[in-house]
Amino acid sequence: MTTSTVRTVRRRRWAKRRRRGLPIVGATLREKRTGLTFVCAYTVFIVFLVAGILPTFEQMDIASFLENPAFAAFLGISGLETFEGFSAILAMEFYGVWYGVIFGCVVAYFAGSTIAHTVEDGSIDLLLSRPMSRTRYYMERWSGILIIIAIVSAVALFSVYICTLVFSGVNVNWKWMLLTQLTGTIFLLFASAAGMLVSSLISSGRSAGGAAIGIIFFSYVLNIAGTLVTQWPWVEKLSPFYYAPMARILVAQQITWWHLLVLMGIGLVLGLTGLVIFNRRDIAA
Amino acid sequence: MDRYTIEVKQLAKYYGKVCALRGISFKVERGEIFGFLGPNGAGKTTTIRCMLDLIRPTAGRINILGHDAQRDSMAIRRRIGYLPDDIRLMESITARQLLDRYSRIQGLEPVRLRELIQRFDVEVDRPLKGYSRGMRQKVGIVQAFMCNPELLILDEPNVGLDPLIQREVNAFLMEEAERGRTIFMSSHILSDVEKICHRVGVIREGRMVAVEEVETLREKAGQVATVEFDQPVDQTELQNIPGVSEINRHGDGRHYILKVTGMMDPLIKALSRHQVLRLSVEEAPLEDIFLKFYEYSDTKRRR
Repeated sequence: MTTSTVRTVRRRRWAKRRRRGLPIVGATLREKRTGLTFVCAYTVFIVFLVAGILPTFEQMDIASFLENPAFAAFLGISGLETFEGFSAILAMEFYGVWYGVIFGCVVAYFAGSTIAHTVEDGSIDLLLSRPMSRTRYYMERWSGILIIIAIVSAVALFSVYICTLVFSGVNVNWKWMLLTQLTGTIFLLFASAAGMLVSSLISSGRSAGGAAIGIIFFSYVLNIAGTLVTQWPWVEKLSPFYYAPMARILVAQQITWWHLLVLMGIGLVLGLTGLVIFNRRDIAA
Repeated sequence: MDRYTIEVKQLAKYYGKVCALRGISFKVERGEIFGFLGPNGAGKTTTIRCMLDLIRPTAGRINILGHDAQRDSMAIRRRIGYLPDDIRLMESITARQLLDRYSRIQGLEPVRLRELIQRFDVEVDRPLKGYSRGMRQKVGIVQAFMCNPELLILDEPNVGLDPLIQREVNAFLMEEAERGRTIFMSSHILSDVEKICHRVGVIREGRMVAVEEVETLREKAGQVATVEFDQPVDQTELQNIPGVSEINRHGDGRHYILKVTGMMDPLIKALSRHQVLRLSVEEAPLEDIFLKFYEYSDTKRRR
């Protein structure tokens, strides 16, 4: 060791305080950036595709699809009486159950793997050995996922807006468009909360992400079963899809506010339950 | 100011019916290097994780830097540096970005960053993805010390490092202890523990088998004398020398290796009755003592 190094070592220096910011939110966004890019690209692609081939769609007898209850349930457009224009096609191709299933699964996977992955690879040890509470860690991780949801929602709205400018004959009622997107965002909040709950329980990123996807997919199956099996109308009400009928809001322009509150409430309960579990659990090596 | 930086009292941890820790107790004094030894699965990492509040103990208490490790873990974590066993780092960023992120989470400037990077020759500007085990370990050491913590908890600090860097790390740890830092380290490299630790605790199957000063262990270990006589010597004659605890005879009885505890005087006087061609005396390695602690607990358990 050189003399100069000894001198440096022996000088007594106490570290100054430093602004923390939100490092885990940043890390979450960084980790999920590839997936987020794909989701945004898919959103832009589908919205532009629907707008681009709207004239072709309008020549088809789409209303006849609605007569088949299984097909309508599959697409999440059951119970709609009229089915015309850009909003209707957008509801069928994007905001029907597909929004909930595809984006719901993606968000649930993001959330499900977000903590579990760091437990699995051990990187959480170095984070939680620093002055970062488990509550803060969990909330920063969840906030990162919520920012991703906000970005996806903004990209969807912006894509629709650009389509209304670029393509002739493409119009939407913006009040109902915004309410539809709000509903979709609340559904994704639910999906993220379910994912966070699973992530707080399981110590493997892929398993937790898979389990979170399982919750969303099971909800979708429950929704189809509830729609088709008329003897058991209560089955449909067990599915979170029931409380987020985006196609109905966009096309029929009907909204049931308490449904959104129920979905948001369940989401918050799931997310906060995950927080309690994460605070109490052992972070095993 | 408390005399003890770490106080562990009757710490127990059960995973269902499986017992990982069976009520261990020990204290670590301020400014000392405490070696925490034990075979794989003995409970070293579980103890360390309880100290960091990553695992919640079933019973017992841990007091670190005057704070309860469960109730005031945040106050403790502001003042410690931790190096985990088998360090895992986020791989998509560079070491510099990672160290910056950790110092931000710590809420403190990394005042020793430059010095540590130079001393351990750490490459910080390329992605962590391509780092070898040794390079990751060096980054781990840097992150543990960069904010100048009062207490260091190091789980196998020398694993994966080449001998030169191991020597540098050992020298660094001794300097830090001289400056008043407390270092709690677990290790499998018994020669390192022997060189740098002031005291050691040995854990086996969740029980604390021994807590001793290294100097005391050295006295217990004694010395090893290698003797070559001109003529064969009867082994029984050597067995009767006070302080000679083990005798290994080689060949025709002219070569002996003797383990001696306590004073050498009786041995030298006994040897002076014979023609001695060669005599060398060296300290017995502590490894034997450490391993005896393991065996001792095994025997005790069988009884």
